[in-house]
Amino acid sequence: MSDRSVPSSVDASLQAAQEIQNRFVSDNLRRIFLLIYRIVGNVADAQDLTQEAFIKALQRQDQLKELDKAAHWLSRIASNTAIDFLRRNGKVNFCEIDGLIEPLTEPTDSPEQAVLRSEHRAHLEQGLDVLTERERTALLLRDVEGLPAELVAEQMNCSKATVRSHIANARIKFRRYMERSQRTSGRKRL
Amino acid sequence: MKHPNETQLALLAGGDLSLRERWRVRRHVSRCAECENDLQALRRASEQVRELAAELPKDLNWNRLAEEMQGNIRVGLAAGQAIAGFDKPAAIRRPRLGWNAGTVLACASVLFVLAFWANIPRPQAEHLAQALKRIAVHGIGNVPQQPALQQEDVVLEASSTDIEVQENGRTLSLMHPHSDGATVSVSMQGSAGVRFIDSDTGQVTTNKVYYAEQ
Repeated sequence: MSDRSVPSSVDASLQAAQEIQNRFVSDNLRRIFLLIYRIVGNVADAQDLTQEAFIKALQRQDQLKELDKAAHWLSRIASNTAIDFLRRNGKVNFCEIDGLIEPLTEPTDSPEQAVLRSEHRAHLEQGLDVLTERERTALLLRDVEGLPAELVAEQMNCSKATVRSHIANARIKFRRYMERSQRTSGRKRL
Repeated sequence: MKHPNETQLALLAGGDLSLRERWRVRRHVSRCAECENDLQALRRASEQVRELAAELPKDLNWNRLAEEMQGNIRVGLAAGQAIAGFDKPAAIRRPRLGWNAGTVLACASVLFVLAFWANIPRPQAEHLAQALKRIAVHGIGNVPQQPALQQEDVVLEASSTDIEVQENGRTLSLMHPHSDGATVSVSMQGSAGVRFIDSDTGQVTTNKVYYAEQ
């Protein structure tokens, strides 16, 4: 009798652990996918990296001492995974920058075409495309994930001053983009 | 009145200015409508980024993608566990000589002994063989006692004055008294000899006695 109860209790605890794991994945999957997608800029890479981030996190779940910080911890793993991917592919160099504000670059399509062609969301997405990858990463980690600048700097392997300049630069570029597109939109309507 | 630059306003919009700088810029913004408008525009931009970040890419079938990712994550974790089993270091154990290595070592030892035996000179080989035989009979460290001489044994003795043959309690001496010095030799084959210069004649004289068993 007791011989049978031992494996069943083991099975039950394994099943419970599996359920917790599944819930952890489903609760955070969309948020983590979006974070990575906004950093790397395409769905296929974002899918692979999201899976990689979850596997890394769940393999190291014993390192997580406080469950209430799990979401923050997972975000950190995800952003590191995305940043490493960009580094590996030579898409971005997260080193120090010389100037505080880089000159505003024009988006590949003109704002007029963007506004006419797509809806509000596509328009905003194009606004993010104006940013360099390091500016976009810093902005997402700071404004979307809510990480303090010190942690963003740690994740991006930069100084805090560099990260602050990335964040400021990103906000200014995005604002200019939005204002310009609004003006263009207004002119089109007239 | 000096306006704060755009970077300072952008950092203030997200609460990223240092305490002192924040106080100074806020103080200016509270009295400057132009800067206040800039600050609000920057805050709106940050808000729009947050909204955008929460939206899925256009034309993406999220449910299908989510299912696919969840399945892949489960497979990845299972594969990781399987690989972890192989990565574990094997239990430390003392190196053991395998049967094959033992056989090779034994054959090499036999060949070495045979080669050594074939290459040593004949007398040494015989002497060695006798020594090994004695060791086999008596064991190492047990030197057999030399048998006491029997009365009927023959003793051959050479000295600077004579050569003596002793047998059955009787002694035969070959004297060479008139010599200034003599060279004495004995051999294991049963002979004793003396070479000396005879003081009477001045000739080199050799006396040699051989024992021959009858």
